[in-house]
Amino acid sequence: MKQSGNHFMQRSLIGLYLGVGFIAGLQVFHLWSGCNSHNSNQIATPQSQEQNNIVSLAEPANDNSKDLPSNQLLQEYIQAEIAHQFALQTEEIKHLISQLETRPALIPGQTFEENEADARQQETYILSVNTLDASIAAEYFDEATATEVMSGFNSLSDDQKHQLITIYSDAINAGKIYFEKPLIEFIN
Amino acid sequence: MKLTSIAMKLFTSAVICAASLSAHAGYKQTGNVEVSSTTIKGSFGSARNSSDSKQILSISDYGNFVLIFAKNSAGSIKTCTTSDQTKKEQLRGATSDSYLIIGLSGSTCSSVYVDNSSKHEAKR
Repeated sequence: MKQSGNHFMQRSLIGLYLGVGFIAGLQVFHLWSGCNSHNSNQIATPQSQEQNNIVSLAEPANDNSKDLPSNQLLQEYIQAEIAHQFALQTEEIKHLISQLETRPALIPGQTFEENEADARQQETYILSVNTLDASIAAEYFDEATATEVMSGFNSLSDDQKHQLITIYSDAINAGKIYFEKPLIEFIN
Repeated sequence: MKLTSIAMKLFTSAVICAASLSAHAGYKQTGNVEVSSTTIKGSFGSARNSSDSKQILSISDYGNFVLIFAKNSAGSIKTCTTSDQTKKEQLRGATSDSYLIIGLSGSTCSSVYVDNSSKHEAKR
């Protein structure tokens, strides 16, 4: 059941990538074709005017001496716009992926309530692991951290409990964190 | 001659007393907590009764797995878990007077020995 959930998540991710890639491609194509359909000077000139307020719109469009800088400006504009769009899309993809990763995949054959319970359990587990990981990264573990890590322990599955304690034990044995009390004392 | 005889009697009495005391006390073995990257050793009684107030030896039963936690007199800590059925049963058979020898492989208890014997120090 868990495996089909993982396949579902993988399919979702692949679909997401394809969708976002397609939209990004369309945007780039649209931008490119839109820019090419105009005379480069018509686009570049207002920008130049914006920059220095000297060049007039009434200035002749076929001034050959302006062609080279105008083309450069156009290229820079397109490159900047593409980079901007890609940055936006990348952020969006990262955001969507993080949502998918924190949200467990729905398991076919389970009721909505069962899926919701699994989702809550998974979220509790992720919160505990994140707290523990942050503590290990900071190489500091105290009673407040232990309480936080173990706060949702009772609601975890047996495997999740074992995984969580194993992460803790690995860190203790490796000397990354030091804590003198057995964690079981912090189950509430 | 008389003095020698008295001395002999006193010596014999002392030996008998010492022997009887020894027989009454029984053989004892201290099991202070020892930890290394590959082993945890120690008895619950010795850890509890130790004067350093640092030693800890514990078995925590989580149901599907059992965790062993040990701290020696220097404050070094090692811990391991096992979900192996046989090892869990061994550890569940430990008493507060048991002596443990646990092999470590990372944070997994790779081997488990539980010795229940009168020689190990009882918790006071």
